[in-house]
Amino acid sequence: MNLNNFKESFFNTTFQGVEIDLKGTILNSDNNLFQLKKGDHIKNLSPFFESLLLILDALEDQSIFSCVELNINNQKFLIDVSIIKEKTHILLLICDFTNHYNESNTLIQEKNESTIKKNELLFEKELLLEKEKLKNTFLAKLSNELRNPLNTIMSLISIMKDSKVSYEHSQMLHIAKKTGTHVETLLNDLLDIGRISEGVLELKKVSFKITDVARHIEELYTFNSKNNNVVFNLEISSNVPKIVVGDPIRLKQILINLIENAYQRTKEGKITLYINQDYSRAKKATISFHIKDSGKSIETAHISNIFNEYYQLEKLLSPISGEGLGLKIVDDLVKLQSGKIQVKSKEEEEATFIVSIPFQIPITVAKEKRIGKKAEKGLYELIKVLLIDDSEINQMIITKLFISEGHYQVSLATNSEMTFNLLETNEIDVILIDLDMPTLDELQLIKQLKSNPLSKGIPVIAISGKALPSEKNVVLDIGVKAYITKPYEKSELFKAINDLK
Amino acid sequence: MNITKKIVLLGHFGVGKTSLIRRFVDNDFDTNYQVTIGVQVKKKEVSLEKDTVSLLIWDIEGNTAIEKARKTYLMGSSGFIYVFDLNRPETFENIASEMEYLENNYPNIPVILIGNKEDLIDSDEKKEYFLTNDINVDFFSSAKSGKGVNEMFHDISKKLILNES
Repeated sequence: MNLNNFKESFFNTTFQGVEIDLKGTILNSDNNLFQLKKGDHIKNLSPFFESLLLILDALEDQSIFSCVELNINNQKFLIDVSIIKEKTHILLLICDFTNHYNESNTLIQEKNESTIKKNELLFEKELLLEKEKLKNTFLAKLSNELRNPLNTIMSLISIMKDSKVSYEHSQMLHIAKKTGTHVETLLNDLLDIGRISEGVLELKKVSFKITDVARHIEELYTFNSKNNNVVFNLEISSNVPKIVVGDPIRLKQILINLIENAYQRTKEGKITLYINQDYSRAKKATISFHIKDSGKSIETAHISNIFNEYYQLEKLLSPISGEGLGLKIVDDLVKLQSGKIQVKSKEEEEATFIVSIPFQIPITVAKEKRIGKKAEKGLYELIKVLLIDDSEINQMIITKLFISEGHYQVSLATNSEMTFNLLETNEIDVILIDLDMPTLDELQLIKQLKSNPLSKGIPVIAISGKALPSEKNVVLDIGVKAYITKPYEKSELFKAINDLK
Repeated sequence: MNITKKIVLLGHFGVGKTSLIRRFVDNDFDTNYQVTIGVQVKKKEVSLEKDTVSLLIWDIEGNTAIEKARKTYLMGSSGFIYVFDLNRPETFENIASEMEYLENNYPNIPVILIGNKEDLIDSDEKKEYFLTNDINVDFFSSAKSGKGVNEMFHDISKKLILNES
């Protein structure tokens, strides 16, 4: 075969020339691809050609339609059609590029399918995030709503415990307080889970001594032993750096949650917290915390689920469990600090939770500040408190707390007018405002207090059931000195006042 | 009145344009996605109360924007059916600008908007999304079940008749 023969062969199997009149009647055709009879109508070949005649006026003198699919005698063709409009007739050049287009078809199919899948996954992720956000908002609101009544209960228990009660009643109050504290822990855990999953929980980066955290925990479990049949041991390896940079509060939260978990499984025996430095390089140290107990082992099947939120929720809802959400929080907090957690437990053997967290080592160790004890207020020096709160129960509770403390004088206001009337006639040292009053715009009142010459120099302490950092920051930003979250301990309230000195 | 008109189905790839035409013309459905490259033209007659419309339906390859479609495919079209997938936001997030494009470049040509794959959504929440976001969906359809399919082609046919008279 020579080149001319090859070209002719290719042309004859790929191209077909057709001449039609303006109504679509076939005048001429070389029939290389399709058998067309003179006098037949081109529209019989395919609705595509019928369309061409319909839109003839809209077409330019020369047009090309690429990649047109035709089904002729149950065979699929992918053709390009070039059209030349003349005054009395139309020339069509049909080019069969079926093989060419079919080859690209596979690539386009794969590309489209992968794009669709990718976008579907992104959309599903967005929906899940939206649902997660909704759930967390609900939990935060629920938590805030529960804090107010819980605060009332806890405060009343505190007041009753400080009054003269029989031993039996004192024990009952002890149990009531313990139960209330458990509810508070659950509320805080729910908030923490929400904050972590939304990425709004901020970790502190401060220099601290791991030994201080460990010793505090040791005191907590040695002197306030939860169970006399269980001994708590603390072992700190000598290679643990003295000072590290990280978040001591969250570290303590992780360790306490794991120790609480160990106590739940251990009826008698011992619980050991062992701290060791695993790795140290370039001002970074990975410290591992081993919490080992001699209690019942953890079933292997449960180990993989143990940190799962929904597994934990299931256990929480179980009437015989009441284990809380502690392990889920631990897992979240460890991951947030780029750490790792693992559980080792074999049948009939003790369980060990191992948490490894990387900490930075400070370049220079700052001299520790020696903070001297602040001078106590004189015995007869009264601190005059203005309490702004419209709840009679809260008024009663807080007044009783101040009376029990001994050197406070409390004035009560339930609205703005009363507040400023009292400020005009009384010398006030500190203003205490409840932020959960239904009929008062507390933030507006604080702004007025901070701008009014009568009160702008008086420190304001806010008490609220809202526990989110963002909610707290809004209040602190307008000049409030301290923010106490309900439910609170008596000591927190007086510490906030003492810190103002 | 008997008329023959070209209409074009527009929309992203994979939204179900080919499946809607297949359901309408052949009363058939295939769950497997087969990409459309180029264009395929099918014909079907729609009988209205007094009129008959022969639709030459151009099923063109999907594009992320009408502007990217081959211009010759859209030439001389008397109506457009814009199809999006109710389950894929990327197929409807630019609908307002797509409608504006058609209004500016193809004035006085009827357009209907279709939210397809209704069978895959498990609640009315997504439908409500379109109502609350001012997206005027003409029909929610399913090529799989056939819901809304005849209705959309009848609707565009009526609009073509109105445009003709």
